[in-house]
Amino acid sequence: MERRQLTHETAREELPAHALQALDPEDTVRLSEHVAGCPRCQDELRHFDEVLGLLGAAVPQEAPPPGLRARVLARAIESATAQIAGGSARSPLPGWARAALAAAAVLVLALVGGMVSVLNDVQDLRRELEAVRAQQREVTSVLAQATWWAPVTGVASQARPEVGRLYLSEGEHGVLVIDGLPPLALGEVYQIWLIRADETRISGGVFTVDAAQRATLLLTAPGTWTAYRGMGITIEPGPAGSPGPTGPRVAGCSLADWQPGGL
Amino acid sequence: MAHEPSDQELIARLYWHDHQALALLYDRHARSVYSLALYILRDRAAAEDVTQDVFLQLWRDPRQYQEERGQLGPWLLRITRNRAIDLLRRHDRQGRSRETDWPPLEPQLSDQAPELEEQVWSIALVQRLHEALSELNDAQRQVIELAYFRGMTQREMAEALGLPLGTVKTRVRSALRRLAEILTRDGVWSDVS
Repeated sequence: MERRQLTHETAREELPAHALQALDPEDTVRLSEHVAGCPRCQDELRHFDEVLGLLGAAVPQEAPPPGLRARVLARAIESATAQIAGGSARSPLPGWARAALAAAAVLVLALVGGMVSVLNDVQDLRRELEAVRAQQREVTSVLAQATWWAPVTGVASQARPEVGRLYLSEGEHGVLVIDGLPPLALGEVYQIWLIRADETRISGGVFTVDAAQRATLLLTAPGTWTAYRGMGITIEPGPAGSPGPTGPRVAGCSLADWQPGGL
Repeated sequence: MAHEPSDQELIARLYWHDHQALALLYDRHARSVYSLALYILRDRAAAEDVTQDVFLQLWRDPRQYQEERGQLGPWLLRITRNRAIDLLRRHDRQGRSRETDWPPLEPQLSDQAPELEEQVWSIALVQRLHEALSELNDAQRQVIELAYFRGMTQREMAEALGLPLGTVKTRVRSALRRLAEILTRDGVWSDVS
């Protein structure tokens, strides 16, 4: 049977009931179809949603039982750790961890002694699936053991102030998770610079991001992380980057911002 | 005094799986989330489950919350209400009767004063909400409460109240529009933290 299209006037009349989820299922479907293509109804529905959000605060207030907080936090940490471990956990991956691990499958970068590392593309990685899996395991291992992290902040022109995080575990390993650097023009790469206390910079390797502006990179710092006061990211000519920074700085982090805490 | 991170800042930290940010959000919002779930479900264990689910949902995918869709507090309560109503409807399908009688929505002076960080909903704001509800006539308030807190559809309300469906539709429409007008007139939005 052909479904009757709603006029805007009829749809508008039913918006309050729709916001309250008080329509029959068939009417809900018809109204949802109309709202999807009607900015005016979307605005009004949003307003009703806000009103109904407020209404929820009108009930008698009672504190949740004291143990609930600990249980919620334990479940949160447990779900993250289970997923990072890459096992068969049933709950879905947290958004950021999905981003990190998906990006790790696209690009994993290893740095030893300042040597510019290898840049892989999707085709290469498919052929080298086992190698990638091993690298992913290392990424997840560092993430799971991370005890320190530092926010990676973008320059003012970036949409978000924080465009990544650098997670560090004991020793020289770290994982840089990027979420918010735009894809580059062909022939350009992002290059990481590790900044020593005396202001000298050594290359930390190069990377690109995926269409979702994400990348996850396994870093191995020459020496230990305590030898560095921070990290910067510039745009350099690809595929190998530059011996020293030449392009614009797009993001970085400071040792002063590093703080305890892992996942 | 230390900088008190805003809800938006804490949400941004959830993107990086910062569980301390989740703890702070819980401290701010768990009381209102739990209270709403408890009011709807009248079952402490079920209310705890809903509260846990709401915060874990935010933890697992903080992108679900969009700042332009309004403040976090009301958004969390919408999620809470929807989850609680889903549970309620599931129980109803299993044969539990749907009651139309419900504890009154009256301001409650608790002997357990909330901690400062829990006072995301100011006493004045809650008071104004009750005043706004009291400006509705009894018939309007009844359909709002049956739909919002009992999860009844318009058809179910018509059956339960013995009224023509058209009458219930008119009441629902006028009730929510009126409530929205009153809250806007009273400038309640600027008080939502």
